[in-house]
Amino acid sequence: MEILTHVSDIIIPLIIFFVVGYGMVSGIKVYETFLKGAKDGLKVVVDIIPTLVGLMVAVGILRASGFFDMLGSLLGPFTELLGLPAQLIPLLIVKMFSSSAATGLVLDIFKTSGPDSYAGMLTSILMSCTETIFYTMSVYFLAAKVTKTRYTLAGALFSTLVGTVASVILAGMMV
Amino acid sequence: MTEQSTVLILLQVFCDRKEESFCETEKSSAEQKLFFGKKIKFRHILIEKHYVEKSMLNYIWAVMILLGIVYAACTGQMEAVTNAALDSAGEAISLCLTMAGVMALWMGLMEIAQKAGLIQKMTRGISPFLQFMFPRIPREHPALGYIATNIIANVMGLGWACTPAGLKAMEALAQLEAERGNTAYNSEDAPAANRVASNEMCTFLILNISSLQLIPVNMIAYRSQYGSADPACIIAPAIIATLISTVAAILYCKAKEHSKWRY
Repeated sequence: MEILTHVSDIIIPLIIFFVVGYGMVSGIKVYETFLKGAKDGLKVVVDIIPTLVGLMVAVGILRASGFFDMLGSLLGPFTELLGLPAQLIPLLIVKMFSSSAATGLVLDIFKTSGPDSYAGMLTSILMSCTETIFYTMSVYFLAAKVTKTRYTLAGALFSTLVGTVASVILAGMMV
Repeated sequence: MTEQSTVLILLQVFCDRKEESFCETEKSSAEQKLFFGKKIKFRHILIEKHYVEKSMLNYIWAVMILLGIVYAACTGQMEAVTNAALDSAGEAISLCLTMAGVMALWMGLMEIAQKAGLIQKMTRGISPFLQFMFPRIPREHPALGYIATNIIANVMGLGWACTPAGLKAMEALAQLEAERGNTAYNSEDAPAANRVASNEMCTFLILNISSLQLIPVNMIAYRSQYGSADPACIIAPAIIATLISTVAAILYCKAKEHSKWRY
């Protein structure tokens, strides 16, 4: 899909142009402000270094032990009927609980299949349109001290399912 | 106790409220013993004291490592595991270097957007959408402001700003229920187990989880680290996918709101 790639290519320059231009017009010191924000961005990354080391080591061990290959050959025949490579099954499950654990699995898929392969594309799109359902629900409802959540879980699962189907179709169009 | 509330309690036990807390195991081991010793009281402690120190990530992490090593011992892959453990640790650091650049750029731009009033403008700009999604919230109610901030922070990938605004929104929605005369919300001392989520809370959370996002900054950084020919090419398909899942969420909420079945 040429048009999708084209839109993707122009979005970042457009945002940069618009934000910097808007900042200039509103008369703020754009460069100093940028530096302050960039510093905060670096702090965010430094904070997640330990998490990434821990999780990448764990996923690396699991990958090297041959466990993922075993799981893949076991589940592969079923999941491929649905357009889902077997590698994505653990990812889909883990993502509901923890986004940082999911990141470890995402990086493993990029490493083994490459980010531009079908599995890599699907992973990239999927991770951009799903959220850690259980984590979000527990934290947010706790804030309101609500215990009866009615249809929230069903709705969240439904929208995640629709997003997954859309990702499979879009990834198929991109590769 | 209904099925949903049991589910929620389970979630609260397992989910990683503090994702980074898996390095804090020492601190929480004493509390853990207390939990397993008093299984019945456990639930109340959880709800009333906002107790979610023990995180899901503890289990995921430990299971991955233990399972990997045991499986490797069975299949004779111990050497590969040794190399993988050491290599992955180094790889995490080089990944962070790539990410640091992308994150610094994005957060720098967002700081400009914030200072210049662009983010606030966007927050006000979505109020027609909010009135459509939450027709029963009075226009001047603070809940609408928090919800708008949360949604815009999500869209712009400002992770640090989403959660505080989201939690404030939930508190404001609880306040709104109290104003409506919902007795379970009226006093702080009312047993927490009686609080039933309002339509607005369900809608807000489902919208939040459907996760509208403009630029998946992290994904682009990861892709470029692993040698993608065009790391940003996922932006357009990702926007389409996220729009589709959000539209599905909106339709679901609207259908539920109009149905008479309350639970």
